[in-house]
Order: sequence, then structure tokens, then C-alpha cells
Amino acid sequence: MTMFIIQAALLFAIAFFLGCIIGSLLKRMFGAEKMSATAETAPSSSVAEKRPVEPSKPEPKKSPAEKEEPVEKTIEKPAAKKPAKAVSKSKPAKAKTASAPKVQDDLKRIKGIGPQNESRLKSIGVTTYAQIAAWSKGEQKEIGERLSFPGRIEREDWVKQAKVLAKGGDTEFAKRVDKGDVDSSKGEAKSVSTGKQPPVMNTAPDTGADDLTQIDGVGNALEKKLNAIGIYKFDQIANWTAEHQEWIGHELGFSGRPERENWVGEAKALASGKLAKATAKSKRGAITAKRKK
Amino acid sequence: MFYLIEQLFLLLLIAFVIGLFVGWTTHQTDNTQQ
Repeated sequence: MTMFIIQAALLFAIAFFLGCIIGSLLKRMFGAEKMSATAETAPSSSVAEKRPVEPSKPEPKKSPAEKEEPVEKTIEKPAAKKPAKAVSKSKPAKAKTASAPKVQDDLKRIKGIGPQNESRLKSIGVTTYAQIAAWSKGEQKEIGERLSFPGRIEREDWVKQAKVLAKGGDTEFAKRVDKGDVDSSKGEAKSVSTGKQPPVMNTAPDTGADDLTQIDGVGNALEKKLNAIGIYKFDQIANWTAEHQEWIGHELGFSGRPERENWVGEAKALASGKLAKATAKSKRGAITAKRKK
Repeated sequence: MFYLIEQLFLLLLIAFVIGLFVGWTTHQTDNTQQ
């Protein structure tokens, strides 16, 4: 009898463990799928509807198989799942580079999204309510950090608002925006119309981002903001036109600063390696240079 | 005996579902760590 109980407990533990592995694998695979779905197309709510269906699907399939010989299966399954892991890892990167859907919603109807956040979201390919509605907690955190407002998305519950709006409903805030009561959400963003957005990278390059703080005038905070916009390399900055500089200045909240401090010139020198001293220059040096100014 | 085995299977199924839930909720997707 004790033997039976031990056996049962063991099987129970194995089943639990197996469930954990499969659950996390599903999350990983499904999370990646969702990212690509949000970035590619599907402005309808079909993306959001996928969620409850998928995780439950494979479950009944696996449990009968497991019933027969659970012990043997534990050995087989993790090995069989490994290739799937490798595939899913590459998915988020692919998803991020995917182009934005053609349909665009007025994201400013979401409380917490103003003209600036809207243009930043557009720059990373988020243009519809359905995309926001489908964000997972992890994505909310990541995008919050990219927008330089960690935790804001969760705090203001953009996802919940977006779900309502994606279904064609109206939130209290959206109604006010429609009436024109909300100044910050009126019309097109001024910041969007000033200058032109330079080409950006959606993710940090594989070769590693350059240390942008080597440019005089760029501190750690500005470097973070530039990275959030999608500027990681000196040669990106080196290729900015006057319009691009205007746009960036506006985005950073320091209009005219890139031009004034000649970021482009410095970036050109840094990118070509001519400015060897600057390359070797420490952040400390950059800060003292800033203080002198 | 049959009843006992059935109970065991049910228990296993429950454990599996719990595991699935735990795995799902505790797993962090890769993109959150980037």
C-alpha cells in the first residue's frame, strides 16, 4: 500500500513537472506568436481572441498520451521540445522588424497616450487598438521602458482601454477626446509635424550599440532616450539631415540641441574612427566637458 | 481496482493541469528580458 502511495505521489509530481514544462513552452511559443501577430497585421480583435483558445488546445491531446506511460514520456518530451524552443527564440526579433499594419487608429483616445507617445508607438509599429489590446504583461513592461515611462502602461491600463476601443466601444476618456475636451489629444501632434523621423532600428544591433555618451551633449539619460527611439549607432546619427535633427531634438525635448552641439559632426568622426581621442574618451571626460559649457 | 486507477488518472490529470497553469504563469517570455 505504501508503495502504491509513493508511486502515485511520484506520478503526480511527474505530471506536475511535465505540465510546468509544457506550460512554459506554450507560453514562450504563444508569446512569440502573439508578438508577430501584433506587429504584422490583424487590426481586428481576432488577435485578442486567440489567447484563451490556444493554451487549452494542446492540453487534452497530451493528457491521454501521458496517461499510458507517464514516466517514459517525461524523458522523451523535453528532448522533442528543444527544437521548438530554438525556433521560437528567433521570433520576437522578427516580429519587431515587421512593418506596421496599414489601418491606423487614433491612439490618443487612450488615456495616457498623448501626441508624443503616439508618435513613439507608431515608430515601433504600434498603430491599432488591437495591437495594444493583445500586449502581455511582459510586453507592457518592455514597451513602457522603451517609451521612457516604466510602469505607466500598467498603471493607466492601456490594454483594458484598448480592448474596449478595439471592439468599437467607447471609454469615458475616449468620449471626452471625441468632444474635444482633452487638449493634449487634440488633432495631430505638433512634434510629429516638426522635422522628419530618421531611419531607426527597432532593436539593438547584434554587433552591440555604440556608446552614444561619447558625443558631447549626450549624457546617459539622452542615450537612453535615443535608444528608446531606435538610435544605437554613430553612423545613424552621422546620416541625419537637418530635418532629422529637428525631429530628434523635438522628441528628446531639447529642440535645436543636436544642431547646436553638432552631434552629426561628432558622430561622423566617431563612426569613421577619425576621432580616436573621443573614442577613448571616458564618460567622465564627457561629463567634465559638459560642465565647462 | 478499476476505480482506483481511474482516481489516479484523474489525479494525474489535475496535477498536469496545475503544472500547465504554473508553467504558464511563471514563465517569462524572452522579449521581456531584452
